[in-house]
Formats: sequence, structure tokens, C-alpha cells
Amino acid sequence: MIHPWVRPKLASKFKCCTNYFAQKLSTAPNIDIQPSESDNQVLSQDPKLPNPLRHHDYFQVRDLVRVKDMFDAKVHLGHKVGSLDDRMRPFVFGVRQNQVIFDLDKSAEFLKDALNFIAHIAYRDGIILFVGQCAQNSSLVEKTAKECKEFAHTRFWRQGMLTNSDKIFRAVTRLPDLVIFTNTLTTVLASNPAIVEAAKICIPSIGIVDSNCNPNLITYPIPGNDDTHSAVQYYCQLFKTAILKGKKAKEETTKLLEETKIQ
Amino acid sequence: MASSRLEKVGTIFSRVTGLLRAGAMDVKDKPIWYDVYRAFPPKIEPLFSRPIEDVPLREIIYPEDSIRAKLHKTLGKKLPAYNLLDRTHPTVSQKIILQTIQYQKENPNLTEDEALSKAIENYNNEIKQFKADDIPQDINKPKFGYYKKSNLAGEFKKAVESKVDLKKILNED
Repeated sequence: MIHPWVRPKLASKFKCCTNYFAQKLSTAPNIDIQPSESDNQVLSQDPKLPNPLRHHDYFQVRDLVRVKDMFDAKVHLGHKVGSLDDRMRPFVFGVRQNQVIFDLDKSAEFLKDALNFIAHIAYRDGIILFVGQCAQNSSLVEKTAKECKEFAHTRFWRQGMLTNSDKIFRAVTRLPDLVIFTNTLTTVLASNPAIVEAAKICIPSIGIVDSNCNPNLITYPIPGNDDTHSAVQYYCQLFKTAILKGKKAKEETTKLLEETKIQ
Repeated sequence: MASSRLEKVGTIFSRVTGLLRAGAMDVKDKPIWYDVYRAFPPKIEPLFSRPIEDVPLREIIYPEDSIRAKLHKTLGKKLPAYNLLDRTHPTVSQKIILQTIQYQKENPNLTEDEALSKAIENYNNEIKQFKADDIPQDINKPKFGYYKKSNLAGEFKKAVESKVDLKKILNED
């Protein structure tokens, strides 16, 4: 690091130096990080181009979530009270016959936020990875990932697949931009190591957290049933539509850009 | 790319913001999710050490639960199996409970037990009636909608009896 006061002096000294050195010096500390500034510039150049971040629901994925559908898919059913994680208490509606019942009104809000985030990542050409070590649902999750042309890993998670990927895959690896967990547990007691790894490497995560899971490290947790096939089917279908909607919007904007360039 | 691997300190957003502010990460290199997170932050900050909220758990109990408990105590295993995917028809216990509540409404002097036994009796009579209706009086003339169970031997016999006359079909053409 070079102190910002020294930098201009140095820059004047080494003006004649190679391009590489100039580039090194120009990495000025970004005091005012306004990522929307660059978007503003794009906007000012192309007034026709929409900025999805300005809209509450640009991809119209929030309308997809209905509490009735969630109830029919048995999303509200949790585990027995004995296995309840105290960190899941705010999302619980009540206990019926020793079984935890989720508050679907809250879950729906979380699900809507998660879907919006997924659609935005897909719009920005992000790589999305589905992770879920649940034997009975793994084929369904893999099929979903295939259908929306994304990636899935539903088997045993080798330690360091994100944090030490270059060594494990023996090549420079492009890491995913978003990890979706359809199941956050590997066994009844242990949570998936991929959650910690994603948090370490600063990859946002979306995860369905059942009543016996820890939602703290997951960026966009969705409280709900993660075991029942109908529930996982429901989530997978929503995730798929969100990704496809994001990709479709991306295609449309690129088309618009090309048209404006031609004109 | 510079990064901090301490997942227990702050959130992914706060860590990346720190890197950007300090200049360790170039603005061009910032992850694609960063702007999205800024625009739509999660409802609850994904902090590792988020304090546990002390929310009391409440029991979900409905007013008709006392009737349901008594019904299951009396009938128990006699109740038929339910199809969980069937959402159009009410289950047997639902039927009986509704009937009990209706009886109690009609006659407020009835106790819950009496109304329930009356409802169960009513249901049993209904089933008896249904079974009686289902059996055709004259076996030679089956009632409309009466489904005769088919077996392989019967099917074969039927097929042999109703032999297709090829000559007849060809002549017709």
C-alpha cells in the first residue's frame, strides 16, 4: 500500500515508466464506493436501458410465491420440538402435537427475497451452484440445475472444494457466484461444510433451513421443510423459474443494446 | 484477489466493503452480487454470532380438539385410511366432528359426548345405507355403476366366447 498523499508525487516521478507501473499506481483507494455510479453512467448513455436494481420486483418473481401453494407443498411442517434449533425460533408459528409448524407468512417473505436475488445473479451472468446432500432429493435437484443450465453438487462435500479449489481440482477454478442449499444438513447433527466455505470465500448463499438447522451463516435463509419431496419440488420449480426469468431478461437487454448500437 | 477468510467476523457484505474501502480490492474486481446485496439486503443480517431471540413457543390447539380426541379414543383403529393427496373430500373424522358441532348447535342441551355418539351412529347408519345401496338386488341385472371385479380367467372366458368372426368383417368391407 502506498499512502495516498505520496501517490501523486510518485506518479509524476514515474510517468515515463512502463504501462504496468502506471496501472499499479492508479489503484487508488476507493473512498466513495458508489457502485450505482457506474450504473448511472450506463443509464445516462442509454436511457432506454432499464436498471433492474431500481425496481422492487424487476423480474416479477415475487408474485410466484403464494402461501396456499406453500401449504399444499407441506412447506410448513418442521421436525419435532426436541430437535428445534433455538436460532429458528423467530420463524416458528407454533407447536402442534410436538411438531414444529413454520409461519408461512414469514417464510414467503424470505422466499421472495431469495428468488429476487437469484434472478438478479442470473441476470448478471453469475454461476449458480445447487448443493444439497439429501439422497432422496438429489436427482431432482440435479435435474433442476440441468434444466436451467446451472450446476449442482448433491454428493459428499470434500473439504476445501471452495476454499482450496485450485489444489483439489488441480487447475484454476471459476467459483460459483451463488450457492443454493436445498438441504443444509449432511447428517442429522452436522451442517454442510459448504456453508462455512461459501461464507469464508464471500459467496452469498441461499438455503432452505428446517427447524433443526442453523440459519446464521446463510445470507438468504428460507425457513421451511427441506425433507419432503413435494416441498423440495416446489422450491426447485421456483428457483428454476427465477433463474430462467433472469436469463431471459439478460437476453432482452443485450438485444436492446445491439439494436441501439446499430442505430 | 484479496479477501478475508474470517467468516465469524461481520457479514460477507461488510468484509467486502472493508476491502473496497481500504483499496485492497479493486472496484472493477468487486463481486457481482455486491450491488444486488446493496439494493436488496436480507431481512436479517447473516451474522455468525447473531444473538438468540427469546421467542416463546405456543401450542396450536383448536376448539374442536376435545371432540377429536374423544372420537379417536372411541373409534381409534376403526377409522379408515386417508388419502393425503385428496383435497376435495373431507375425511371421516372431519365429517363426524362437523356433524357433532352441528348437533350441539341445534340442541344446546346436548353434552359433547352425547352429540359425538349421535354423530358416530349417524355415520355408521350412512355407511350401512351406502353398502346396502351398493349391492344389486338382482344379480343378473347389475345396477348402473356397479363395478364387477374382473379376474384373468373371467376375461379369458369372455374373450373366447366373443370370438371375432373374421369372415364377417371381411365381407362387410
